[in-house]
Amino acid sequence: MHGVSDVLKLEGVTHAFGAARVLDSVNIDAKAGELLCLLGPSGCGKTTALRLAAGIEELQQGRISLGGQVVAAAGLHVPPERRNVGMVFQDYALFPHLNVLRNVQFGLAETDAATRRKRAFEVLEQVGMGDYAESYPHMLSGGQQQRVALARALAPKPRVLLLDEPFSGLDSNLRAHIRDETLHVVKDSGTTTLIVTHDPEEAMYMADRIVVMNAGRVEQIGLPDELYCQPANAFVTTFFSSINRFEGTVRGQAVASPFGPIAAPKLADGTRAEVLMRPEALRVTAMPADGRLADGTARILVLDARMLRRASFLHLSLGEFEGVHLHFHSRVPGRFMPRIGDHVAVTLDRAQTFVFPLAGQKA
Amino acid sequence: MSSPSLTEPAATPAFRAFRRFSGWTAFTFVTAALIALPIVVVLAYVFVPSGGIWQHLASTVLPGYIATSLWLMIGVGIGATTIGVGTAWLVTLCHFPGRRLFEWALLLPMAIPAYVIAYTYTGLLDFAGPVQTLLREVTGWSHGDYWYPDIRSLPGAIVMLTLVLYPYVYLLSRAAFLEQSVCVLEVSRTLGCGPWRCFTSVALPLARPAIATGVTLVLMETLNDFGTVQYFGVSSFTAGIYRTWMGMGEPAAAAQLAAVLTLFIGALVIVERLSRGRGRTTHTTSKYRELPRYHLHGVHAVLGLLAAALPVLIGFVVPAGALFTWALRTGPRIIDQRFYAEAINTFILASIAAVLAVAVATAMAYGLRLRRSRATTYAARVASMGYGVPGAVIAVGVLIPLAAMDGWINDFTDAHFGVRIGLVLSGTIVAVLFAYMVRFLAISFNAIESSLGKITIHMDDAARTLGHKPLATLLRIHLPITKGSLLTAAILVFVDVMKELPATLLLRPFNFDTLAIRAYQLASDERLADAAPPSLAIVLVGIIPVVMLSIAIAKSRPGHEATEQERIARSVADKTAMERA
Repeated sequence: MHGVSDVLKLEGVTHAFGAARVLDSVNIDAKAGELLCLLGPSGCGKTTALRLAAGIEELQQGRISLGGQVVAAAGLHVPPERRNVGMVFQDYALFPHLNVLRNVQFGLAETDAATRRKRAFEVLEQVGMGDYAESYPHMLSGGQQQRVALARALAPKPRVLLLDEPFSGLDSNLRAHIRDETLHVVKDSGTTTLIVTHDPEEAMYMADRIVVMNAGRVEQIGLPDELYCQPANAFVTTFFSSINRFEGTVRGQAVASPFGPIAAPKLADGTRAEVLMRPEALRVTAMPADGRLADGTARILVLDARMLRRASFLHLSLGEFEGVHLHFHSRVPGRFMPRIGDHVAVTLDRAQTFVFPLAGQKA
Repeated sequence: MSSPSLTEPAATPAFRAFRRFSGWTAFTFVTAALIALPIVVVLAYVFVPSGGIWQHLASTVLPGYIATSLWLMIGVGIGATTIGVGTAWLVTLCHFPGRRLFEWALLLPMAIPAYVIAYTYTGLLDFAGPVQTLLREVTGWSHGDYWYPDIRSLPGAIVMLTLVLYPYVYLLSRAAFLEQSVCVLEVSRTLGCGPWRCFTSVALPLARPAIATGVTLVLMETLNDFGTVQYFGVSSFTAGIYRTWMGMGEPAAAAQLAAVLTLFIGALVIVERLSRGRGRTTHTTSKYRELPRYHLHGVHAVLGLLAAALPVLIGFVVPAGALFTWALRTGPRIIDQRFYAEAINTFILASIAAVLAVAVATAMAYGLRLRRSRATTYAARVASMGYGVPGAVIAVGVLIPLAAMDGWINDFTDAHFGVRIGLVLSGTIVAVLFAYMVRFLAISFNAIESSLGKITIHMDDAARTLGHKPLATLLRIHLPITKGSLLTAAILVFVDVMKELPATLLLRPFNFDTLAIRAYQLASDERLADAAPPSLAIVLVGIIPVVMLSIAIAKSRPGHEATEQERIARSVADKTAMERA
């Protein structure tokens, strides 16, 4: 049963709290050594999926297997203590009455104290906390507590490592640093890992593959760049960045736009569709001196321009288009600050523009 | 998605089938059933015909019992509310010399059981006591020359109970005043409220639920009191139950009286619920700072000082001083082998009860944490309801089923082995401990449940995913973290058992006396000074929880982080068992 099979597999998992259905026929699988991210807004069911995998929550419907062995199904519930999974909690849940060393040793089943101690120090060194073995949790900073929590979860060499929003308790400066550290520790350990997060950048930074979830369903599973560049639907598109949006009707397999027709090859004529453009899809340049614009380039009014760290952020008014006033945002790398009230030349990067049928219409 | 483990998932039928009935859940249900047993037995006697006895009681003494108990409740309720709320407001929001001292000293009367203060004041105020003797010496009057109020009367009992019970109201209303946001009070001051209007139109309405809870506790303790009313010859329910059982030898009629009393208490709880009303008293802001105090000067300061000092003086200093003086005199004679034996009995009984109460409560609270459903929550509530039921009622409810079981056991051994093994359950320490569990389990359960509630459920999840079973998780995580609260719970039960009189008196094995029983017996024989050493011992131990509370109060300044001491304070305040239940 072992081998190439998935290390963690959720099949047809459906779960409800009272009348509220939080998971709806969810299928997720993680391959050996893979780092999988469950990404979605709060309330999408991602944490419940994680808790079901750990066995903390009892499965209601579906099937869960670890290393090819079914651990939860109809009539079967392997309790968390016999699943050999490691878990890192949002609040770390370090045992306050035990020092760092004894926290890390807590999950070690070896009877020999010296072996336990050796293994505990091994993982503490891995996370760079070897010097804090005698400290108590309340003496540590948030980042240090997170490292100890990670060491504690990794110490028993779990089949799967589960991390529930592991960086959300850290301030933003520290977060990027700890995230990078955690990524290397987890990858070096070779442990199959499932991370729950609501932060798309965090998911893209960490994950081999991302599972995007919404309202209890899996919206799309794929590599980070697939999800960003080939989103399956409007939800996935808008979840990864702020977006410029307008609606139109498909005619001749395209939707008309101020930048000329946008191809929509899969949509039937007459379909109402929404066009989604990432801010960086609007390529902004200064108006040419002669004022002449190439095909597909639009002359657009600048409402405001601001410097946002590495990029310039423009508010653009496209005026009335098919009866709707369009106000778009564009992100231009570096400093590009046209005067307010000036016009700029804008072309559209079709690779970062997506057309989806409006909700309730077939593709 | 937050805290899903606290809600009952709607499982599909196939899955519901395998939700195993865990041992923890079973334990909760069995405990609840056992605790409910005596109360159910008593209530069931409403339907048991007892021939003419009940008709006789109903037509003769019952109206008197009801009237007396109502008067007691009205008197003690008004007295304890006035003193409790008044002193709480005084020490929380006014500044006068000695305020800090009175903050905790006002709790001291709690250490004295009502029957002890009753014996003490009788000793001080009766004809041969120092007060009347002094009066006669000064005036030259002799017996019959003057009118003197009889302490052994209904008003006397009201005063005695008020003196030792007002701290419940004080404690809860003080906490409520402290919890009120300083903003609310400051807003009312900027709107032109003087101290008096602030108190009556803002602070008091906001504190009303807490005050109501405190008064309910006071009234329950009033109905529970046996020693005072029995000694004063005041015919309230508990005295009547005792008389009907021990004097008339009619346990069935006693049980019926107990049932009426239990219904009384049920009504009390319902009234308290209703009195909370619909108005929201949750605090709209959470800004806490040191409260701005009204500075009292001159005459006002003296009056404030007096108002705070009087309850402490009359409720603690005078009786404790009298006990101490008498104990010095009678101690050498009273403190003998027998006294030590009684002290040891008391210690053993209270220790076993405390350990048992904490162990059972821990298992129940943890079982509830593992799997909370409507049924288990309800079972826990049932298991906590004994706290509202008077010891005399519980004693009746415990003895009847245990005696029946002893009968069956003896019939069984007689039939199979030809021997009757005698009383195994009733008339042994088992019956006494059972009654203590029924009455005091709620104290330990509430303290332990609230302290477990402060441990994030992620601790459990972490321990479980790290390979530990529920029991190992409890032993290695929860017990070490909550050991302070467990000890507090044990101390509270210990002290309450030590003070307990009616259930012990009715259920104790033959010739098995405790300090409380000894004090009761000596007082009954009018040897009030001789009753001082055992009484003083009870008071001294009773001071322990008061000291713990005092420390907590001294440290619980608004705006401070919750400390271990505050947790103690809360668990002591969690004697408000019924409030939860």
